[in-house]
Amino acid sequence: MTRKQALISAVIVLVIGLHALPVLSYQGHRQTRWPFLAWAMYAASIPPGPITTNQRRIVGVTAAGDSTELTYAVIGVSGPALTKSYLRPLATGDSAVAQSLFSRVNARRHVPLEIIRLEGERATLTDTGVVVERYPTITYHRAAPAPR
Amino acid sequence: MPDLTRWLDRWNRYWFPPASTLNLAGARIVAVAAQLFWFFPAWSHQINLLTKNERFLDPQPIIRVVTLLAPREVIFTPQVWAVVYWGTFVAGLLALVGLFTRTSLFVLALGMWLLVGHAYSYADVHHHEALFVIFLMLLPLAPAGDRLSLDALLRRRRGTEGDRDTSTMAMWPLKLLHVLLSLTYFSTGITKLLSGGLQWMNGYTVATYTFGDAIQRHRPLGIWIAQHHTLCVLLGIGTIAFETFYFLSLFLPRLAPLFFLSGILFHFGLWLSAGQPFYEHMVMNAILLLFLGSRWRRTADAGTVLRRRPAPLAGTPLPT
Repeated sequence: MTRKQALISAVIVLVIGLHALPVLSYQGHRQTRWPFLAWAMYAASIPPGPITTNQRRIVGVTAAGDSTELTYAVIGVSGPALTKSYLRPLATGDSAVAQSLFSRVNARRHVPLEIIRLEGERATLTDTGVVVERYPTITYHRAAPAPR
Repeated sequence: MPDLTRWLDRWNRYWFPPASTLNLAGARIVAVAAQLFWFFPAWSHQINLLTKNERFLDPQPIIRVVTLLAPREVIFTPQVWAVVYWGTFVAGLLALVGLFTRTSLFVLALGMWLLVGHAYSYADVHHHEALFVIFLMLLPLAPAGDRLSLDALLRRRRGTEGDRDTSTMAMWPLKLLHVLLSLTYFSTGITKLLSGGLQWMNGYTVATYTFGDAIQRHRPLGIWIAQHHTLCVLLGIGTIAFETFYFLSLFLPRLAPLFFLSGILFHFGLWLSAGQPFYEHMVMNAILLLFLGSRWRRTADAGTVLRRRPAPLAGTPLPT
């Protein structure tokens, strides 16, 4: 074995060995030792029953009535952070989160948003197609700015 | 000691067989071209996360290392990040044409680690890029620019070419990719069995996951698949079988191309029905199919190797 081959052999052992790291120190559902990952997404099994999926979205409205969807890109967060930090709290009526969202989004807008609406629906699979039920819309109003 | 020598011989025969450098050069071109023109990170996504967040929510290891060297306010500004972004792209172009190949491949791979690590430092980690950028990082350690490159052309003009048509260092990156891909699939397959059990193949699991992704990503085929229970059962069995037993391709080199082809079709099917963007895995399987497992590749190797220096043919099975 040449010196070069010995070095590359060490690299091979290292790279394969590093993949054992996330397995030996298992972090749970999402592994964050990127790029050496063990992954458990889509691993759980689903018992027999209705096949449904939920969709939620946040819509911002200006005083003039112009509306825009506040996607994760517009807010500037990742998809999971959007769900954890905004969609779930807003669905439970958390107005403090709504006000922090107003602050975050309006800081970069010329025309501020005055209303945030949480909309959504549940889609259920049937033999004849997809049945969609809309969730009640939850509306939040921007608090008046504090007097200077 | 004889045992150790025998194991070392087996190790060398597997990882370092004499082989044509053409395969590795081809793999370099396919991998770099796909990275640059198919799934290069979007600048808008990078700059959006950078400017709309004052701090990292979950900095990845490589980003933590960078912030140890210099604070976020210094490195992670639009100006500096633009240099990193476009520097990575230019390095990729150089790697594609094979100019300063080792250096440009290293800069491309490092840049990709930084860009992807940055995108995943805001509480969102996915894994489809990971293995591919590890493969990119292996290429600078191998003679990937010895053929089909401007470097080779310049060497020929200078008359300093030497014998670079074959090398014992030309196969290990492809073989390591094969091993890592097998580990990845085995990990996902066995996790499904350990976490979900045999129930994972009950049809409802595939139907629910496919339906959710299909609705979100507007994939009519996924909705249609979810409506057919027997098809979902078969797809569940097929998924577990493919992921869990992909590693057999390491021990069955003659059948390996079928596994690689199955991998391409598996990910293409996931993309078509559920919008899963595993483009890197399609490309990695294609690279293995074209440059590791194909009959023409072995024939080309045989011709080159036997012409240059009589030696055992590449493609020996993994030591057992």
